[in-house]
Amino acid sequence: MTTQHCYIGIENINLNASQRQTLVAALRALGPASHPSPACLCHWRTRTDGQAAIFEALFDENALTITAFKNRLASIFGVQPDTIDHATTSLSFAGGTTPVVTFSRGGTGYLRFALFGGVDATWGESGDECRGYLAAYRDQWDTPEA
Amino acid sequence: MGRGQQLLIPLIDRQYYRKVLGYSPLAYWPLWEAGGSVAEELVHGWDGAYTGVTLGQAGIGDGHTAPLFDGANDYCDIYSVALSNAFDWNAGSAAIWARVFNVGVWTDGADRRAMYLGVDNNNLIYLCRDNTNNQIGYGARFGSVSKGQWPGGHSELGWMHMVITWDTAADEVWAYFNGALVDGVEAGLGVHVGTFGVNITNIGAYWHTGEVWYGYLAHGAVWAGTVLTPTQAADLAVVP
Repeated sequence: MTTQHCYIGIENINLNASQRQTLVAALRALGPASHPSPACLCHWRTRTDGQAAIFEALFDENALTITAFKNRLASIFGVQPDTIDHATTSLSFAGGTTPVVTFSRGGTGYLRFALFGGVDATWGESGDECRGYLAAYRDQWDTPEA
Repeated sequence: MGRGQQLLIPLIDRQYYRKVLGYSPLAYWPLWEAGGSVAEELVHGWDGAYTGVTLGQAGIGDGHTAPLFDGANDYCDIYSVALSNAFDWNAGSAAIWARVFNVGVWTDGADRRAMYLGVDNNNLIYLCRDNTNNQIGYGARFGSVSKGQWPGGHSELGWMHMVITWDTAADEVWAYFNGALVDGVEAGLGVHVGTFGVNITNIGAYWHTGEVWYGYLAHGAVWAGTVLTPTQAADLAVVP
């Protein structure tokens, strides 16, 4: 198993509450079951509206592929994975490259997934991209607290 | 007493954590673990719980390590019913060592909490890196009345020692940076209401994963009924 310690993000587009909960539960279960470093265990941050989350862990790389996400969504929808479409774009939040994949079915987008820093990023590089993203959207992630 | 013991005892007595314990804190989290999710609390065993931190980083120079908080989704939850019940909102102190990860943290526009002791958004005590460039914050908000100090001009890359004290009877909030009194004494405190809230009593964050510290934290401690004196605050800023 090849692992990558990194940050990933998901944003709900059109999943209903039950579908979203199923997906989130599956993502929270990723990463090692135990590890001496808390940083390597799966932990997450939820956007204040509850419609997006950032996860960090020492992930199995196979769990972060487009195919893996299509399989998860197909299971949630009760359909074949090849009926799930995707479109990829690249963004940069701190000088790196963050691929963002939008998954859709029947022309309707359901989920956006970001691999902060991309597949070759170190943990620090992935973290920089994630922190850059959080800085860009701070009003959506930090509850105003004077 | 053997020669080895004679040599050993002075060394032990010079440990920084013994100095902190000597001032009788209500609770004290050294944050010196090398691994695991438990943040040992030395006074009562009110252990905290780490999420996401990278343990075992360079500490304050006391021979122990410190955790790195990633500025994204890490925190150490120190909430317990026992701590909440024993905490004294009328008079007390809180202290922590803090170090930012890099110079960019001073201008990243984020609130970053080193320690946050909160009931709700209207009753809380904190030590932080404020969202204004190069500013730190010492806050005591009781009954929605905010008092404290928010000094600017900071760009330190080394360890900083921060202390806040509050005394409602004397109507005073004091703040100390590296052992020196910051600006002056704040008066006009409000009236605190409530007990600690779950998820908003943390080292390294405001609530779970919000306003996360980006850098290192060590030796967080709180005092109940004890308003640290200027001499004591200065002493705690010195290692050992």
